[in-house]
Amino acid sequence: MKLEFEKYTLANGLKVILNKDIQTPLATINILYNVGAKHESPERTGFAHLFEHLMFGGSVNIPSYDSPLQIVGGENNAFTNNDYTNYYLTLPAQNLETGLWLESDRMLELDFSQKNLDVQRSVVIEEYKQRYLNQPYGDIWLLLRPLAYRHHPYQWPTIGKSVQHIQDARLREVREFFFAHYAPNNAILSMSGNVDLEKTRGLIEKWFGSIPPRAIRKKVPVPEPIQTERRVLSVKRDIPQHAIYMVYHMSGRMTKDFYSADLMTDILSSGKSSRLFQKLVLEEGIFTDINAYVTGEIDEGLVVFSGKLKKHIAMEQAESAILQEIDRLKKGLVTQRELTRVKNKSEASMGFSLISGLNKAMELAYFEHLGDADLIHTESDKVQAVEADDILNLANRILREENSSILYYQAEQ
Amino acid sequence: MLNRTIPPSFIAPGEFTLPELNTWYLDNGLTLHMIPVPGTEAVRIEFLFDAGSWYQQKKLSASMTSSLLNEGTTTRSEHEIASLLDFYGAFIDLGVNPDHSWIVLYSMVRHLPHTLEIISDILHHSLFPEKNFYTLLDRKRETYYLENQKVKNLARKKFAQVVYGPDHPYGAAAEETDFDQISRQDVSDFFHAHYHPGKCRVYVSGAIEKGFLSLFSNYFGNTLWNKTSIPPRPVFNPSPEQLRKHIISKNESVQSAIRLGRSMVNRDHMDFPGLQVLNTLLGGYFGSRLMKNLREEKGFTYGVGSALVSFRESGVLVIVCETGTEYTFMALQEIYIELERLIKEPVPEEELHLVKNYLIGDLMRSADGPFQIADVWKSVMEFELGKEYYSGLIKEIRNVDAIRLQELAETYLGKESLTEVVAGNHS
Repeated sequence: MKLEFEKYTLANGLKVILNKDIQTPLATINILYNVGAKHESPERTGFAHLFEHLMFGGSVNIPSYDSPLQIVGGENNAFTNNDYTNYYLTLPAQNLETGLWLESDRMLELDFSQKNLDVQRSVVIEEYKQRYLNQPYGDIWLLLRPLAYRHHPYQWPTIGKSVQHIQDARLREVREFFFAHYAPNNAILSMSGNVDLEKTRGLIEKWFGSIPPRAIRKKVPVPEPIQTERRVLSVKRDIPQHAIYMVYHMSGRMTKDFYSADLMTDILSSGKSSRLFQKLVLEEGIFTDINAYVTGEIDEGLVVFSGKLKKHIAMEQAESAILQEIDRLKKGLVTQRELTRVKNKSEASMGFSLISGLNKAMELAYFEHLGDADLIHTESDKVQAVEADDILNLANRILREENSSILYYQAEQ
Repeated sequence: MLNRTIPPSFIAPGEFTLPELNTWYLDNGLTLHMIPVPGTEAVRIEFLFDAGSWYQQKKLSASMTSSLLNEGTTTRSEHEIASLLDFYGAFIDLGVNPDHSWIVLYSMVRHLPHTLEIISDILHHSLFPEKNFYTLLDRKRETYYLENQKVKNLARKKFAQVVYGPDHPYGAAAEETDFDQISRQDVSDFFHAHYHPGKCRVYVSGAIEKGFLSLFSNYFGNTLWNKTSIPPRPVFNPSPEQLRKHIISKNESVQSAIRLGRSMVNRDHMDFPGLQVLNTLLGGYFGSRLMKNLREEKGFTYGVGSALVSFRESGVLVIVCETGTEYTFMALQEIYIELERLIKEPVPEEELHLVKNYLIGDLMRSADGPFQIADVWKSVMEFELGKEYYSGLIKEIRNVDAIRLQELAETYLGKESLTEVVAGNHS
């Protein structure tokens, strides 16, 4: 079933995508800003994410973001990743204008207050502890990213390199950050809901049309140079079982290789019929859990292998078991049945994901960010076009020892 | 000139109608609920069994049975089951809670003849192969060790145990030794006793085409899957611990987990709509009093919330929070202050109005999309609330006033009735 939408751009550069959905009493507004952790300076990491928190502290004409939305029956949230920052809200469709009013005012200008900054710094530091420091296996990506990336800003996670960077954020920098990145000409607004589209276009013009475009601080991330030797890091932690992570550089989200890599990792580890699960969990009993996946970020990403070792299995044995499966991929074609299976699965996942209004709005904005919302319609063809040869070829190009970074995450004792 | 300080006018969210639910009773005792929602090619079919941990004689039986359902039948290995489902782009989700176990099939409607056949095979011919049993047991044991390192899980388990007693299904948790006690035979016995058509309700939502009923009946309606009679429902009475304050030390933690709450009424009680308003106000949304106080004013935590949980025979109100260890006791103090305020002070009209609108909007959101609609219907049917429940609920939410909320707070939120558990570093 094709997702119908219309797309246009306001005079100030704001891109707009609208989808009418009569099956729901709700409407969703999604706003994607083209700013993520990769746009940060290496001395000030975690800023895009901290900023996401500040966006809820009130804007220039509206002291509180949340309560005017809640009183009309709405709810909102946001997330930040390495590539972009995404805000979304869902409300009863008849109250769409309240959402547009709120979002437009915080696009216009935030109410920069020291108090808000102080509190949100503290909240983000607690988030840092809750997610990364106080969880078993929580700091794995804090270790892996800088191991795999020496130059590209994917070397730090969205939460930031360290608590100190968050602690040091100053109000002046917050203001600068806003005007350098938050602007209609650096954003995509998408909407899905049970509303009259003509009226909606009018309301969008009313609330967003007068926001001035701004000079965006363009920052093209430094590409990661080609890796020339295997990197290894070994740490000990208080955890119940060893874990191993092996990552390989791959190309970006918009390349043909992305689809081959995605299907390749699905063949390896998606579901109980996958190769790694069958062989290394069920047959050989080396791992209790094993995964292969692509990070899926927009610039050059990673193919990731991760596994939790069964008790009494040595790290070397676990590593060589994964390497054997990699070798198998490099030596022989995947079967047609394997390929069809993961293609069907991929197609179904897309179908299931476009079921709620929230997902529709979010996906439309995401594909527009990738280059064109219409890509949502060709995604499936790109998956279908992958052949067994492509996977063989890709495996031989990227799953090489000198392109790998390995983390031995060992249990103490 | 546009005045941005004035909010646009709005219409308070009110009635909304759920798509209709139709029910069929099949000859073998199975109940089939269908909720057709047009505009999609996907369908979700949930088989809900009275086969949660409430019914088990040995710990882990219910969850092991559920997890092994797709691991082999008399004619198919786990690999064949998984490949077939993948081949048709279908997913199944297996799970268990104290009251129920479920098998949820997500499928494209055109593949149903194949995907339903797989579920039918599972329900008629599951084998629980020895090897898969031990592999899964190992995995569950590892997960157990891992989860036990997290302060939130330590607090959650202790809280349930104090509130219901360690022998009650709502309070019990598996311990290390339970992993040595359970056998493949226990799992097979549990399956044959409890995965019974007479103990099963099926909820179908999404694309439903003509002919579905006969297709479904062919696979699931005609034969008794199990030859046994329906076992009687075991009886358990809560036996809460006398001591209501507990600290679990985990000294290397940089955060502590707090669980504070009590057992109380569940969804089918007349106080429940008022309690939903009260809970929302206290900690049920981002603008709640707890979030405002502990997070937005003081920065003690990334998140704090309260929730009403409904089990079949009881309910729980619980406040959940993880805080920096240096803030833990200040955070607890603030939680008690907020509870006390609900008892002592009437809720301001403006706040109450906001919370009601938010809550009704949230009920609408819980029905965004065909699969979510099925979940809303499921709770109506399982708690036997009646098909008019939602319209009644919205009226009741609208009618709750500040005086009523104070009464409810006094009845349910008194400090002496609460259990408090802190897990982490409190030095």
